[in-house]
Amino acid sequence: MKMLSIALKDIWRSFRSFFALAFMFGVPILMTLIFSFLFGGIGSEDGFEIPTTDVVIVNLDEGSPYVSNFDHEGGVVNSMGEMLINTLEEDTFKDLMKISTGTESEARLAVDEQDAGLAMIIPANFTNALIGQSSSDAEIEFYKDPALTLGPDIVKSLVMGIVDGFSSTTLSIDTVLSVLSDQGISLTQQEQMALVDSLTSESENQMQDRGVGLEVIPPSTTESSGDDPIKAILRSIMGGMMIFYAFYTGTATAQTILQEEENGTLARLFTSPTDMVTILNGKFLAGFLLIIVQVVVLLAFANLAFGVSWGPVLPLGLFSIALVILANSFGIFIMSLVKSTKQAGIMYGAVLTFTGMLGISSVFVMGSPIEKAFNFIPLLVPQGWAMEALEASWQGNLGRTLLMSAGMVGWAVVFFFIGNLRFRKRFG
Amino acid sequence: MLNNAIKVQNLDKKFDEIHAVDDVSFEIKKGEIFSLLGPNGAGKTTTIGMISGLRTPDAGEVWLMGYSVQSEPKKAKAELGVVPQEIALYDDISARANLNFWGKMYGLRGEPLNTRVYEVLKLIGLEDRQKGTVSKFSGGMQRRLNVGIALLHQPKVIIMDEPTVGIDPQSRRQILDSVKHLRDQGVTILYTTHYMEEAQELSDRIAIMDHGKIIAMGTHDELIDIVGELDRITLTISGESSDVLPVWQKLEGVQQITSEDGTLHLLVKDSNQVLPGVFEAAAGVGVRINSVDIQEPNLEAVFLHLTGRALRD
Repeated sequence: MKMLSIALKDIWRSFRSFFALAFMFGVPILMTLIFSFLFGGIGSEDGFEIPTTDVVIVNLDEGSPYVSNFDHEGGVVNSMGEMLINTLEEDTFKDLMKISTGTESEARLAVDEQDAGLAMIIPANFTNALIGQSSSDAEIEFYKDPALTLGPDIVKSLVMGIVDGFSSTTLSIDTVLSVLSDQGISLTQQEQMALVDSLTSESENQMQDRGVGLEVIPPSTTESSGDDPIKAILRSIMGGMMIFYAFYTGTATAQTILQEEENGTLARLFTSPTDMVTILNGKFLAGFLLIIVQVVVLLAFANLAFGVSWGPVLPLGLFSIALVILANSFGIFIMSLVKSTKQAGIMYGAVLTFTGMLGISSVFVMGSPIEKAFNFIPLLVPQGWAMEALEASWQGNLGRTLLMSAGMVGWAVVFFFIGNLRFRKRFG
Repeated sequence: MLNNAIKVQNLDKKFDEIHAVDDVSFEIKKGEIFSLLGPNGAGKTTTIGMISGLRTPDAGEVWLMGYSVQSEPKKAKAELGVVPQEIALYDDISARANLNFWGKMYGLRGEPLNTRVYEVLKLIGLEDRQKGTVSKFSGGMQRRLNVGIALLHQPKVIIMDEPTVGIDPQSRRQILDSVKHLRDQGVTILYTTHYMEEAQELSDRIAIMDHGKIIAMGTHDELIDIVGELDRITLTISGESSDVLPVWQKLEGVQQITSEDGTLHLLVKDSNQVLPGVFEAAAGVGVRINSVDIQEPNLEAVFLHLTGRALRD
């Protein structure tokens, strides 16, 4: 009963502390909100939407004799610039960008006055450069509103992808013509145009098959964040933040032992008919209960506010229990190593931040070339095991969740044993 | 039947090379106010730390209401209330929340707890501020709450470690009155202070500590008698001192007269008996007395006599 009284007192004090609440709930939620706004804000009932970008295209492309009356998407184009505009005007992209055309000055003015998010200026030698008839490179200029990030950048990378497709097509044509020439075969201009048409269509199909983010763009109507990359990203971020700050909560709660030692209340507790084991266990229980509240609130918030699905209940429950135990015992261990709250500050600044960032680093290297290396490195720290367990949990992989959760509990047992032993020795 | 509330036997504690408490023994009777008087660093806090079970002695034993602090700590501590020297409160919650929590630590629950919290708030004069956050209280209010916590479970023994350090006169008076009130209720109090006036005003018995040892112990009068100090009468006069000095020297009870910059100092056995004769003799030779200051022997003088140092050195 006394143990519960000590725990409830610590919990009550934590809920009255701005900093404790900020670290428990505020910062993880804020970080996820920031990312959600980066991805276009909190969506409607349909989920998240990447905002439509107004794009003004300035087509200065002078074309080439080799590309004239070219049949493209049921129309006739006379330059690769026109072909690019036609491609971008397809229905597939209508939710991503709203295309208009104009002069260069009109386009820049539109961006400056924030009537458009992006101006795309196709240079005069665009076609010639693509088909190898220009001595200089052609570079599409993107003039964007600096206040906007995601929308214009997605359009830019999409255009670059399409242009790369054109480039590879012309390279393929050159190669085919070269091979045919070596074999003494020459094609008529009509045959060459048919070949260009065939390879261009093939390239566009491949582009669409690869996605280039096209599958990401439409507003999601599905419930599962596993089917919605934006929600999946937010789930990773919220999951990472939750793990990172659960460890903070565990450490902050254990730090109250040092605070109470310094302000004399711990000594006063020791003069009451309450034994040391009860006092320490009360402090440990407070951390345990606080992290439970934190994890439940963050999981529920992410689900309700962002539509994040955390996967099946059983693995999620297993992970959550393991996280609570691990974060709490890690805090006890860390705080048992220091002598004062001043030293505890170093633990927050260095050890907790370092291990935390390392543990959830997989969130930040997703899709990057070093992603594979980070399959192993996070497992050097307990937070990494928690992140792995969470990922296995939302994938519904009960076996792996069990394995990783068992690992977490293993870490926790070691931390608790050492921390508890050190505290008992200190106050015994 | 047990007569002693506290029994301390051959208590000893060293911190590295410092002998903080050196073979200290004393007994405190039930209902007694016993003061440990001594300068900072004398070993008072270490002694009460061992009595309250906060520190483990290197040697010796302590009994509270017959329970050994070392072998029956829970029973012993249940009889004890401690007012620490430093304010030991949760300053981010209310006064009432503090009292509720500490009451639970002493085993109070439900209605008895609510009743005691109310009574204590009234006793320490904080019933109007019970919902206020402690960090917003004045130093004196915090001190009073610090005392109130020790009274919650109505202990038979209370240890107060310099409870009036650094507070305003009003709060100091309130604390001293509450100590007397507790004594009237039969509570045994072990009080440490380096204010001799407090020890003098409150104590039934006083132990003077220095360098970890008890150098003198007894009632106020017994301590004064030990050192045999005299009353000191300081006078300023109009007229020739040479006229009056021979007359005063012949008065019964006057031991010594010294003159310093026109001020006369008389060392006498009992100033109340000597003073009328002093005035009569002065009037007889035409000397007018302008001012009189009487200093009775005090604990400061006793400490000075025993150690060669002032109490506040």
